[in-house]
Amino acid sequence: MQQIIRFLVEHPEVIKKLQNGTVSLIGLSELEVKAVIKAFSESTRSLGYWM
Amino acid sequence: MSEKEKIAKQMKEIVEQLMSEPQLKAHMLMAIEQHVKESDLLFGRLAYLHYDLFSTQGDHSTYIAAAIELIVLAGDLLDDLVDQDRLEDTAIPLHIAIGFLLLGQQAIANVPISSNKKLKALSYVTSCLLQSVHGQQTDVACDVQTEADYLKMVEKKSGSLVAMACVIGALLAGKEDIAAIETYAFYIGIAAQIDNDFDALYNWDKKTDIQTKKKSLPILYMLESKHDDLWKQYVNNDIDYDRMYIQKEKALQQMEQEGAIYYAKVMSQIYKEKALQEIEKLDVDDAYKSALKTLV
Repeated sequence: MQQIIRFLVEHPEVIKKLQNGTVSLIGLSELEVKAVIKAFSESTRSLGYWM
Repeated sequence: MSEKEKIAKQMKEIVEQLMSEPQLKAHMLMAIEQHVKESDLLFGRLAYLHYDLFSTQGDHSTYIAAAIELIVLAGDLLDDLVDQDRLEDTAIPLHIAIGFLLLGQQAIANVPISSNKKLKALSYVTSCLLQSVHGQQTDVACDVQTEADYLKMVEKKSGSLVAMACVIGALLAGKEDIAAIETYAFYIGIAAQIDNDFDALYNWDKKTDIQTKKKSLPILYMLESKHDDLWKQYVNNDIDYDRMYIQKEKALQQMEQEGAIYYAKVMSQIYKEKALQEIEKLDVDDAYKSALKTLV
């Protein structure tokens, strides 16, 4: 999974295609693809969060 | 009164009824107050829901939920003691934690249902707590080197506690086949711990995870990066905690740029999806499935 995430971070255009269903990721199950799409749809937490 | 408020009230009543030493009792009541402020009582609510789901007789849901939440609170306090997250004096917190641990089990023994069900439930509690201690020890000993190590550790440390909450509710209700429940409970626990470790990345002053170099998923990801980064330098002792601390925003930025944050989020989401899939397979009313899914 680490390699897939690194690939997606380097190729953000693939995430949109994944979301549109125009590409698939070999080696990932349907459930894993669903999780990837959901996680990349959420923004990462703001750096202003420090407590 | 909400379910959470009912469980909190019942926790206090159990302390009032079963604890006699005034100082310890007062500290335990304060610890419950604090716990209720910081927690959504997920474990108690899971126990409540599972008892309610499989029970055909009397209403003991709140009492069972309170018993489980007392045991989990004991675990939280012991965890804080080990991590030294926020404690200065250890004697009283230790007594409070032991008190809660025993009180929760005593409360289960006091539920007015058949001894056979209680015996199975208490045996299951012991088994889960033992697993959790094993996971906890692996965590504090920093024995985690790979994603597989981390997931195995978290399954024991946290998955077993969620399994305890769900399965105890079911066992006390008379449910014999607990395999499916255990499966999704472990998934819920793993996802929750990944999220918890993720939050620690943003709470260096409240949690000691970074100081103690606990290798959570985002850190393991950074250690595998082809680039040089602060996380590698810190874990390899090239820089100390003070130098890391003053660069914490940069360290987090590096995590975000590399994708470590997404990695943790994806892994958590995978276990949530697995749990939801298993819950969907349950042969129970759709309303219960929906209620259970809201706790994932």
